[in-house]
Amino acid sequence: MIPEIIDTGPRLLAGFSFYGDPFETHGFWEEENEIGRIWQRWMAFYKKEEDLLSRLMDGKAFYELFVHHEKTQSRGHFEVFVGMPVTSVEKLPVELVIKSLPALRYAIFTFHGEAIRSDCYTDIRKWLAEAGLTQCCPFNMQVYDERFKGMDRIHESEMDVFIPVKRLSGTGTDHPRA
Amino acid sequence: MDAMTRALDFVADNLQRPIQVADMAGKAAYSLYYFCRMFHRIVHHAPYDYLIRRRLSAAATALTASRRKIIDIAYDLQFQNPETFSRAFRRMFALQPSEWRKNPLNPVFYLMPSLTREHLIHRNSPAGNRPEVLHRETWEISGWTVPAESSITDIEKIWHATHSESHTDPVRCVVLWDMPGHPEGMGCLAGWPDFRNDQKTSGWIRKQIPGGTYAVFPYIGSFAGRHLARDYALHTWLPKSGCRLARPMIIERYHTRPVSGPGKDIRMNLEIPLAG
Repeated sequence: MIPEIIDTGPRLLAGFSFYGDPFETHGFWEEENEIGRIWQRWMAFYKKEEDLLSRLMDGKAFYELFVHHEKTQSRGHFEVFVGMPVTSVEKLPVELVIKSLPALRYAIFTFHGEAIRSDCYTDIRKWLAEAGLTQCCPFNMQVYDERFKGMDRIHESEMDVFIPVKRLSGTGTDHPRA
Repeated sequence: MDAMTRALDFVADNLQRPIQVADMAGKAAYSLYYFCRMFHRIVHHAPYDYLIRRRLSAAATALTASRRKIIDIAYDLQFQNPETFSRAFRRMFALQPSEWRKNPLNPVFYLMPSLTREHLIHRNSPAGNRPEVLHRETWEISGWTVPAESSITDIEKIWHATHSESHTDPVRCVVLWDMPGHPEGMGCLAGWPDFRNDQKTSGWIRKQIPGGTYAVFPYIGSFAGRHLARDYALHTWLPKSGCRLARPMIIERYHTRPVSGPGKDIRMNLEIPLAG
């Protein structure tokens, strides 16, 4: 598993956000967890506002961010953001929240089929350590473009995981693709 | 399952240490994100929720087992201040710690047990754990009291001695209820529902079971393992259901004759009365 290393400029994302236990279900009427629910909200909203949002969209992928906050390590609570990159925040519907990502270097790991459902972050952590890299911001990003066919067609799917990285001090240089 | 068992054992061994969910994930050798997802799926709890419930249950045990200051017990179990501890304690038990110390509730019904690999196997069995919630009218059980930890052999003797096997209704019941002051803390009656014994056998009693809403959990497994169904119903399903226990009572309905011995499974419905 060798990632691609790229540098990107600042990015703006627009979408929906949740903070808490992302795997909490409410039983009885709703069996899906918070991640499933936020994706449902996002897809329904995107479909409703597609005419406007498709004009503001920067690229053709949807993004899922997991942001670590103060209680993430102690409680397993995350911020989950689902949305899309945008060229501008003007004219965005008020229902959406904005995420502003700074210019960053990313290691991009591509996962195929069932590996999408595996504990890919343990593998990523091992690779980074061996490569002398470390995560530099408290979030990671899963990017879903036309290569992702849905969880019911996961065997035909691919997904990219973006990890913001920096070099551990005293461990040489890397040469990202600009 | 092995990974989750390691995490559960880690919690059991470290309740009084400042462990975090990330430490539990480390014991399972999973990333934090994947661990949280799998813990929900296999244990049927959020990891933090399980950790807090175990700590509060350990605190409740310490409150009745010693005269130590409440604040010291709270700090031992990693609560940052008395207010946080009291709020969490009241939320779980509907009692202040001082009230629990004076009149503790029956631990079988209210304290979260330390979950084991056997619990996880039960929770992930094909039989599933989704209960049926239904309404029951008031009914009576007739039979004999037995120790709460009676073996299936002893209970079968009760059933066999008191009822002809030719009776058309095969349903047998065991009812357990909170009995403060009893040496076992629990009353237990093995018998038959709505059965009239006109022979006036010595020791024969009848107990009325109030009508109301009941959650009914199917259980297939060993007789000795039926506490796994009880633990799931009372300490995992009930807190998430939005309901509370109407009264500290469990009813076991055996729809086929339970047989004892290794490898012999029983089929039983476990029922708990609901309020709210």
